[in-house]
Amino acid sequence: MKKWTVKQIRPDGIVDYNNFNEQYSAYKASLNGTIDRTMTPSNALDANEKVDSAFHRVWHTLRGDMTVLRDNTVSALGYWRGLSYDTYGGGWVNVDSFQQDGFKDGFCHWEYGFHYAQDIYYDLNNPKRIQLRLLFDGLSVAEVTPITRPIGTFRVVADFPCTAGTKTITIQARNVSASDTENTETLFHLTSQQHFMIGRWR
Amino acid sequence: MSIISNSIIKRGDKLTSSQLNAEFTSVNTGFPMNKNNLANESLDLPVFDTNNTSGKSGIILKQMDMYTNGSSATAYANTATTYPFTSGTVIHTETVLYTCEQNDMLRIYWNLSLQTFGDSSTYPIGSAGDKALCWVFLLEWQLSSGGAWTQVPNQGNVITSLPPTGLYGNNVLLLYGCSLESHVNTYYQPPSPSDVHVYVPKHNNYGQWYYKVPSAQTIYGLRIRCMGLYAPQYVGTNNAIVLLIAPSGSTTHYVTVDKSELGFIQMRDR
Repeated sequence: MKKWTVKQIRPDGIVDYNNFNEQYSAYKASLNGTIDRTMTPSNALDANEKVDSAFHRVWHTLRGDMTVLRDNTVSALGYWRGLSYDTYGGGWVNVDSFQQDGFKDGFCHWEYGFHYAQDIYYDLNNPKRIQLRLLFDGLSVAEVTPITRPIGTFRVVADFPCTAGTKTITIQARNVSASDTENTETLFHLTSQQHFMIGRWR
Repeated sequence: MSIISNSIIKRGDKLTSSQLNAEFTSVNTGFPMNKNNLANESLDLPVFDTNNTSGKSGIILKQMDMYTNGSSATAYANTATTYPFTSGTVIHTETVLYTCEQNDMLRIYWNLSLQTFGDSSTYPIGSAGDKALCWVFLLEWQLSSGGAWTQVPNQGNVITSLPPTGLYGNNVLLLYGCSLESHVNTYYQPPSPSDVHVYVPKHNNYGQWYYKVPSAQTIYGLRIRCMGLYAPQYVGTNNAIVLLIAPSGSTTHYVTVDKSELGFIQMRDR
C-alpha cells in the first residue's frame, strides 16, 4: 500500500505542498498512464507483435477417398469404386471421421470440398440424391440435400460457435434406397476430400 | 475505469501525513487491480492495426483479390490418340505478384459460368463411360516471371500414365486443385433407344484449392485450364479419372465458358 514517506518525518507535521504534488503527480501518472486504456494509442500493435494463435488458427486437411461399404467388384469405366446397392441398404453412413486438435472457445469457419460421382442412370424410375451432413463433435452444423448430378465438385461452408479442445470431425452421407431396377455398380462416391477450417477466438 | 483526477494541492493548504495517507488509501481502494479492471482495460481490437479499409494487415489477412474475365472460351473433347493429347483450353489467366512467407495459407477459388454441348451418338456417348463424363478445370500457377505453367501442389497433371492399363488421367489423390464438371446426364428410358442424354442449360461450376506454403514463394501467374472428356474408373489400385479419345476431327462435344472469376486469399496460418 502506497504511503507518504518521502518528505514527512513527524506525524501531524506540515508537509511542503510542492513536494507532495511532485510525488502524487508521479503516482497518478503511473497508474493512469500504464493501466488506463484511453492512454493506449489505437492501431498500436501490428502483425509483428501478435502472438501465434492469439486471434485465429487455420487447419487444412486432405482426406482422400471415401472407403466405407466399398464394393470391390466395381471396375467398369464410368464408375469409381465405392459403395453400391450390393453393400448399401440405405440410411446415413460415416464417409469420414478424424480428430482435429487445438480449438479454443470461439467461432469456427469450416469449408469441406470434394469431388463426387453418382449413378443416375435409373433416375427416371428412382431419383438419386446425395445428402450430406457435417458433424462437429457429434453436432450437425451443416446439412446439404440434394446433389443430383452424375459427377462434379462440391463445397460446403459452415460457420458456428465452437468450444475448446480436440474435436471429432465427421462427414455423413446418404442416398435413396434401391428400387426394383438398379445397377450393381457404384451408387455414389466422394473423393479428393479436403477440409479448410479457421478458428476465430476474438 | 477509475481515473485519478484529484485537484492539485495549493499554497496555504494544511497537510498532515495522516490526511495524506488517507488520500492514498482512498486512491488504492478505488483503483484495484482486480479481474474487473483487468477485463475492462486489457488490449482490445482497436489497439491492433487491423486496417479498417482492406483488412490486409498481416494479423490474419495478408492479401485478397478477385479477378473477373468476361471473355468466352471453348474447350473441345480430346481427339488425340497419343500422349500428350490435346492440350486443352486456357479459360482464365491472371498476371499477379504475390510474395508468400513460410506457413502462409493460400485459398484460391474459382467460379465459371458455362454450358456443355454434344449429341446422343458421337463417342464417348454410347460408351460405358457416358454415365459420368466430365470436364476438368485445372488450377495452374507460374512461379517465375514468364516461366512455365505447372499444376499447383496436390494437383497432378491429368494426362499422367495410369499403369498397368495404358490409360491416361490421374489418381483422385492428386485432384485437389481442380473442379469437375458433368458433361451430360444419361438416363435409361425404354423403349428403344433406351438411353436419353440431357445437356444441362447454362449453369455454374466452382472449385477451390488450399495450401500451406512450406517455404518462401513468389507467385507470378494463376490460370484455369480445361481438359476433357474424362470418365471415372478404378485403375490399378486407385480411383482415377481417365482421358477419353473422341473421333478424329470431331468437335461435337465441347464446353463453353462465358465468364470466369478467380479469387485469391493469402492469410497467416495462426
